[in-house]
Amino acid sequence: MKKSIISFSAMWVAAVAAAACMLPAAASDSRDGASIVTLQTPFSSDSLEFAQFREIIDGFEARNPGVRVELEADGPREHDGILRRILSRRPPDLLEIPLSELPELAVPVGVRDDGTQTGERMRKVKKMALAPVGDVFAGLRGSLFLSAIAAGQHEGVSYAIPFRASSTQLVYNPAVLTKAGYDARSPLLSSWNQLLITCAGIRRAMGGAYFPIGIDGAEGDSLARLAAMLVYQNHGRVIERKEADDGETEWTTPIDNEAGIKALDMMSKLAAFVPPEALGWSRGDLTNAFIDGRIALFYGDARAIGEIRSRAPALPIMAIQAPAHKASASYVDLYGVVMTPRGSEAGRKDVCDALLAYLCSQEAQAVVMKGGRSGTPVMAPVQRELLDDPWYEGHPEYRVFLEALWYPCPDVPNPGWAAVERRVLLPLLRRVMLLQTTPEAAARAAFMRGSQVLSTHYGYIGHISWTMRLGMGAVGVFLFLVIYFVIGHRPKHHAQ
Amino acid sequence: MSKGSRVRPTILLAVLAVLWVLPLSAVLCQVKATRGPHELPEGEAVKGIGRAAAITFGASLISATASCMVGTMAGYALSAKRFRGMKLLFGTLLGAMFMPPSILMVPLFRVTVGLGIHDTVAALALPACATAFSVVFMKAAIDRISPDVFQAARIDGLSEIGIFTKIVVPLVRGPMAALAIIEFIAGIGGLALPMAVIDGSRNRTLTLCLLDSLRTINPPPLASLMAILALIAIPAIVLFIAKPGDIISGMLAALFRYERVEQGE
Amino acid sequence: MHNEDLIFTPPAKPHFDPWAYAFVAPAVVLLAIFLLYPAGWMLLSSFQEHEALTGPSGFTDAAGYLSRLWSPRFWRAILNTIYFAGIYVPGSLAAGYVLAALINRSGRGRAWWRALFFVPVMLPAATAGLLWRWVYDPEAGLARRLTEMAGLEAVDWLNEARLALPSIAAACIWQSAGLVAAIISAAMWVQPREYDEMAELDGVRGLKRLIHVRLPLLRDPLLVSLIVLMINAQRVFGMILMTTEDGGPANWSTNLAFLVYRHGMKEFDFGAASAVATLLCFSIVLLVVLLRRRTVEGREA
Repeated sequence: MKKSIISFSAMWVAAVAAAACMLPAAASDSRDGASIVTLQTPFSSDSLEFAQFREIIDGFEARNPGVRVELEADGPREHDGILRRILSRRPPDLLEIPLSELPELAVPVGVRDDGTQTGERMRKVKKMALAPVGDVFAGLRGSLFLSAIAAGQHEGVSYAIPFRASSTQLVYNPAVLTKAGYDARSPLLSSWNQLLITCAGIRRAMGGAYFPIGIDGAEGDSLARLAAMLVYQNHGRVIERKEADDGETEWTTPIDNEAGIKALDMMSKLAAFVPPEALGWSRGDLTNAFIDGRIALFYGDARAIGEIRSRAPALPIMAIQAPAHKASASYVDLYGVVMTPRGSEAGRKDVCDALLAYLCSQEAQAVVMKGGRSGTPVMAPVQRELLDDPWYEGHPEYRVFLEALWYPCPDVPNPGWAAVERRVLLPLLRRVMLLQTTPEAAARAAFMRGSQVLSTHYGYIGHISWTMRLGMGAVGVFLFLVIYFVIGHRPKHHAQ
Repeated sequence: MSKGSRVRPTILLAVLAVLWVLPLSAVLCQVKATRGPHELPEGEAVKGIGRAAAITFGASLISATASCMVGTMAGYALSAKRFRGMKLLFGTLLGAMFMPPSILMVPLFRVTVGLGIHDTVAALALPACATAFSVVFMKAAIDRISPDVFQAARIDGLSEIGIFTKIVVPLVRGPMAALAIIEFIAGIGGLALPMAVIDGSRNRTLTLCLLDSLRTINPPPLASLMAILALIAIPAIVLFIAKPGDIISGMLAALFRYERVEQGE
Repeated sequence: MHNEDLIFTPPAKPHFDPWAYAFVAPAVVLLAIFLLYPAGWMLLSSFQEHEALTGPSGFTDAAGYLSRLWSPRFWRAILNTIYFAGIYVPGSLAAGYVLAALINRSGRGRAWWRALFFVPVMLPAATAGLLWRWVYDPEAGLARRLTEMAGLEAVDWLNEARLALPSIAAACIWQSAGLVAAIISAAMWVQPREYDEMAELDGVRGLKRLIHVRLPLLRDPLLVSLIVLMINAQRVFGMILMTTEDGGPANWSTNLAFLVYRHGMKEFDFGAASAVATLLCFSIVLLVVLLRRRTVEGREA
């Protein structure tokens, strides 16, 4: 018996020990008197963005001995994930987030855009998810792009420090354009029709089977952005809001209207100039095709340029802003750093403020501009004064990305645009370009998919009238009675 | 029954079986097929599969064996002993067994944050270390042991622990193994628990990897995800095929068994 | 079972048994932390105004409780739950019955057939969900290939509002038919044959025989299956999440369990989540009580 007790308890001890090994070591807030501040970025730990961020932080730590910044990777990108991170017991002090998610975080949870509270009950909200940071960069305000500052504000209060930006532009091989008879330094590409004409001209010059343009479609954002631009240029909208009769707000995607169909029509015309297999290409395949000369125009971002530069440094490339980019708010991805309530606690706030100010300084922004040690810039800085930096003499194709920030972001009716565009427009584009259905059918599909996405963010649903509600109640009661009386009684004991 | 009338149902069954298995087998075909146009881009969301697999299988292994042991102990007490509060306990367990997994997500989030184990592997293993299902399952299994056996054991002078280890456990080895398999399979494919307790991507399980890929990569590279799915589905099927009889009869017993306890009240 | 030759019988009355408590302790402790406390918190917080950030801030009254649930999305979820159950329960019962009847006739390989159809039951819900998402994929999925072979146009099963819920219900039927088949075939097998043979001799055939002879004999397992299926219908969550992440086109595949998740983990409205969860719990508990009553051995001999 003793043996069994011993073996029994040994099993339990082993199990508990195994479980205990998995418990995390308690993190202490300060070691050796150094104060530690945590910052989380959404980029993965093996990405260039993360490496460049690490470099910037190293510079900060060198300037401020006694301070350590722990940089965490793989942070959340969407507002519910960000909120969840903030709600966990040990949120990071600072978070780098895409600023398109800021409006959802800057208001108290449970409050809609129009100020009404979810649940239709008024509640007193005492805390906010983010701490205001306006006082940090009062001195720097003049040197940052206004659009960047505005993106970090909500209702006039600054919650985020803009840090770096990404955008997609048209990259082209000037040699091919010259061969086709266009002026390589500033080709006429200020409207979509001109882009189509240019593509046709390139095709004539290079031979009938040549497909001139490739679109970075692997991650989806470029395609979605492109389509959104087309919709806006046709004076359409991707999302619309209207008040229904019972006071409920209805969100719909009016993409099956005239403007949407026009946009899709343009897309299908553009599709004729995209290599048919290209939509399944990864970014690596696209850059290869561009370097090999199989495509002449490449709709891509700074990272793509960086890859081209690192693989084919001698290839002359230029970049211009895509036609009608100003009409869309989503052509620029701004990333900013927000401060959680934990970061604004006394004793941590000073360090956090200093770090936030440092992120906007010329020193840090220069790393963003030039790409730091890797030499491959992947984002544009938000410091306006860098526009005159002589570095751009040798890198004119990057200057375009910085210039994109000149244009103020138009009024964003709701911040879910980026997600909607990503999820609504991309599947629709795949139908247009890959499956070659008509624009009307594609628009219809986009409408259905759009309403699905909108139901995530904004609760679009069909109406349920009062009669239906009462009817359901009656059905429910009836079912319950049936269940109870028919099958709820104890069974009679069968004769065996 | 004549042989002739046995052939037709079998043929029909075979046709239905093909239909049933069709979705599953298609997964395997996808896995073998060449990596089509859905090549993963940077692969941010799907990297770290090795670590995720280790975490998934490790945590499920721990929680399956623990819940097996704990369930057997509690099931034995509920089955063979009469103690005050047993009816209440059993009723609670039976009710808890059927609860939708999404109901406990929010409270588990708060509990793991409060316990300080949020976003760790411990949070994946611990909550599943004792499940209501395991207790009910083992109780049903131990119910099948005739009470005479316990009488005889007590007459023989075995202690309580002795009865448990020498009589009960050997007799229910089959159901115990079946339960461990069931819990393990449920653990590796679990979704609600990892979603509730894990943020971020360091301690993800395989199902979280799948979910993240579905959300962030557009269009979802279903073909590639099937490969990860196979990592979950194939062990599940293989384990099930190992002991189908015990598993099925055990689950039926858990659901369907006439209770003996009522007689005494 | 009642052996009068025993020297002593265990006490029949429930009493304070320290050993019993010792054996039950680990389970109770763990369950109390991870099951009972959360459930209790949920019940309590459903009565409170609780935003995730601000913490509980006072109790609501009955009007507040109801108004929180009064959104159209909530009613859509209820409608969806009922609609889903309306397809899933009869479908699984029918499929399970057919499978059980076939299995029982198939001779030696009976156990293998039963195990084969039981495999989907064992698959975790998330795995099955992703599997069916692939099946229903309008471009590359199995359903597309089948409709192509039949010459029909491709249908987007999961994104069309009216098709989403039935598609998911079909997937769930695929999963549960094996369980129903196992339950019914086990009962069928021990059924006395005489009734069936007598009916055959009497000349009762086909449908009449089915309805009047066979089904009543199977009343118990059928009713148990019915209750289990109804409980399952309300629990479906993983399948919905993997097939339609945001609750379907215009919320058409949200059911109550999914709504709890939406409120709680996506919008962080803990109060609303708890309220819906409590409601769901009550309905499930009711069904469980019925299940218990059904499976308890009656005292009448």
